[in-house]
Amino acid sequence: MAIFGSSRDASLIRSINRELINDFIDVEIAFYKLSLEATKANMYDESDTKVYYNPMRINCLALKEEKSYIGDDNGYDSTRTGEFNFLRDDLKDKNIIIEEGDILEYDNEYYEVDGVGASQYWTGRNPSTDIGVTKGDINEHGLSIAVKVSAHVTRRNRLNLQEVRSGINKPNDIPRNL
Amino acid sequence: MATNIPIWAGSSSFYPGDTPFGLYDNDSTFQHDVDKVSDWCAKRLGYPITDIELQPIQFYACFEEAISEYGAQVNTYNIRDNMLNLYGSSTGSGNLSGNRVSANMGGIIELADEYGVEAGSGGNVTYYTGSIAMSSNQQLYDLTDSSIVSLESGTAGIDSIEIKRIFHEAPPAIVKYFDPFVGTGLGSQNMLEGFGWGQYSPGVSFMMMPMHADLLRMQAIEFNDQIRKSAYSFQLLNDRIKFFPIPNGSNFTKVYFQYILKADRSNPLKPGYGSVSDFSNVPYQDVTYRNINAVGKQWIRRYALALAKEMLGYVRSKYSSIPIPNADVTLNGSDLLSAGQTEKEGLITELKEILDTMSRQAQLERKQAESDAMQQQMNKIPLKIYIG
Repeated sequence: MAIFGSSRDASLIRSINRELINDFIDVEIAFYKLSLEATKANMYDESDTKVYYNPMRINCLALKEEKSYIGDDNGYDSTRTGEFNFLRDDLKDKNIIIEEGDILEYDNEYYEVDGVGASQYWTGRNPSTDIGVTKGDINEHGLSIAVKVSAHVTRRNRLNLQEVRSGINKPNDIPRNL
Repeated sequence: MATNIPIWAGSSSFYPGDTPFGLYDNDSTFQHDVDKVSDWCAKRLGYPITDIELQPIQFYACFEEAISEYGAQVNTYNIRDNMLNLYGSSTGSGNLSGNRVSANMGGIIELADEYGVEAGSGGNVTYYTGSIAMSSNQQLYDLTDSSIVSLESGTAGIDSIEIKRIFHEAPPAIVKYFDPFVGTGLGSQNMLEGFGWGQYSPGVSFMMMPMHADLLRMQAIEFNDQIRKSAYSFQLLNDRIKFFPIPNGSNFTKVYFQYILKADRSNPLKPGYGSVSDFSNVPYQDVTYRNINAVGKQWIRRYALALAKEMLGYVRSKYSSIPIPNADVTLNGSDLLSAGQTEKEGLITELKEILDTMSRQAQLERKQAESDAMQQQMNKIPLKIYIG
């Protein structure tokens, strides 16, 4: 059985992380969860009228890259990627599951989630999946620290989250932001 | 289910039994102070700006240890200062802590006991009496021969003894002082007769003589006996003793002596060995917190803070770096540790220095210096000139 990395020590790590992320750094993003029930999809299971739940404010460590510009036959465009690291226990406590397609609002930009990963383990163990822990053979050890989200900036006018230009948005038969 | 160990929440509520040893838990002043000290320590460590990864019971432990450390330092100093007064006193259940110890000579006299034994003037080793049975015309005797040597304690030849005194001496000169036939004695009767007062009874006749005349006469008697007569004496060499004059079976048939058993003298556990013997069993117990003055309480608070700082340092430095999402951070554990330890050492040094300046010796020296200074000042006061 592992000597180091017990649940007591994990509690200390969690406590320090919470203090750091929520009190010291305190960078907030707004998280918009995609509502699958309310979003109408076409025959290809695609939708250009996505509907999102009301936003939730979550603390994280946000890192946005510099803008990159693309010029082609269709014109000139720009994009940006970002990386958002959440304290997994915070998400777990709030029952938040971030998935591809969800939207993160940060620094007056909307990021569509491209990928989600949670493989940063303290002492190399995730107590939620550790065989010894789940089987009850050993006490809880280790800690899954973070949920790492990679995303890119998306156009806000197609998100239906706010009025961008009047007369452009297609009329919807459902209320915005359920 | 993740375990969440609570940390300092901003306040605490003490209940007796919350400290590790419970030494002061029932002291109402302690109960009143302990939560305040915890709050103060937490704030001094950064709360509420930063979280303090300690629990109330840890602050309580620090506070308890600080009081005990203070008491230990004061008691140590008192033991050192009073040790000579405490040697041999009862180790019983009493508590000298907080009590004034009266100075006494017990310790010094106990130290001098060994000298008293050798000088035959007291001490802690018993002088026993023994005797040697004399045989006619035999001068030399073996002290290990139990058939002739009788001991009050022990057995001749088996128990090692040391003879301290042998009662085999010539009669003192004073018994011959009035003997008119010895030649050197005070022939007062002859002299009185010479003056025509011979018929008076000596018992009611007095002559005024200077004291030195008596002393010289007694000395003359002793010299006379020593030089001209076969004096009562002995020669003691190892286990054998030789007597003078030659015993004839009637002049002396038994010689008495005083001795000690060497085992008694070498015995490190003299009578009363159950009493205070050293630093470890002087009955100084834990101090009474409510009786500690404000100066002491402030020292205790500062020491408790240093302990809490050290403890928090250990907590924060158990792991050299703490993982945070997609990064690592290093906490200030090592800084807290070194600061806490430095503060502890400083406080101990400060307390020891203060206590040292209050030793009996230091106080007497200060009093002497004060007296000398005052004397010098007095000497500078102009003296009045008396004009009659």
